[in-house]
Amino acid sequence: MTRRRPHHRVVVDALGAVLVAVALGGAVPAAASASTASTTSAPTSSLPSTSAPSAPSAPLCTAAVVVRVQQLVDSELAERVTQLQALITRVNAATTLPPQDKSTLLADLTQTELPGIEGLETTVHGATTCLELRQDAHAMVFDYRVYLVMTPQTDLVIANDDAIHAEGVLSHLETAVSAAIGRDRSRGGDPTAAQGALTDYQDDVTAAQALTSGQAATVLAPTPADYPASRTVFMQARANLTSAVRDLHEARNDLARIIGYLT
Amino acid sequence: MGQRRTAAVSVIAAGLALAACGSGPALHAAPVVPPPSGTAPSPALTAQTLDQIDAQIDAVHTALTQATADLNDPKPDS
Repeated sequence: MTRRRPHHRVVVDALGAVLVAVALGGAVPAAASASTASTTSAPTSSLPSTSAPSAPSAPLCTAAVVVRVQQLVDSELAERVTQLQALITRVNAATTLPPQDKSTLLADLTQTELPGIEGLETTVHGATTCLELRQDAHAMVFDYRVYLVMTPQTDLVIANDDAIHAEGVLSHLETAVSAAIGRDRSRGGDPTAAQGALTDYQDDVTAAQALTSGQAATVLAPTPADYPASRTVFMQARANLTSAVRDLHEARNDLARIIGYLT
Repeated sequence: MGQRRTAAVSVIAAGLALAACGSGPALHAAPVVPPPSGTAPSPALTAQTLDQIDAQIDAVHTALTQATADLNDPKPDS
């Protein structure tokens, strides 16, 4: 959770710059975000000209700026709370999630992410300096990764378990279909075409199963600290699921052919 | 032979319906009850069964579409 990468520092510095720049209407240079001696004193018109050379950005973080940045970070946190609540709702509504996957997702979302972000809301409300707000914004993004890790992770696990459920339904039908073909043959029918379609059906179901088996665990493994490497994991999972859906469609069409042959 | 095939398809359809619902007994234990002589096959049940499978696949597709949107168009997080 707390692992850092050098380029992340650059990113969060940029975020700090953006936060301050936005608060000031976009007129502040990036250096303003590097304030380490923030002040909460009331702004005065002489602040820029009286700033010390050793801390040129400090005067820019006025009390008014603190308030505006505070509002901005607070808004970002509130959006993440809303997103996390939406994810929790989706997990609870997912009827095909195995208990262990649901438990893992809900533990992450309700015991780590949501209380963490809500804790930051409290922290931000009490912040009095740009430095504090910058640190809070950093934690909001890097420690929790609501949008880039938790969201796709949750939805990919739900999709994967939906696929596994559908594969189970189709797989269980193989016995019944095979028996029906056998009965047709024993009664003098020629189910050659149906048998061929059943082979295709079995191949398609098996292919879908190979793509999704064990994938939920793979998708659940990355933590917020694993971004951006997590994206590679998620993109592969999405590609596998796309192929699995294609195989499921083909299996469904094989089944329709079988029913047509036996009718 | 037409009636025998009708019976076979009815059994498949019954099994499909049970499996698609996910609450029926094991498919191999599905009741093998041929329709009364002269009874037409139940195209409604067959179509319904395929519809149920379509619904299963649609659920996967919907979830995958959501995940794809997450990955392709995430809200700014950094």
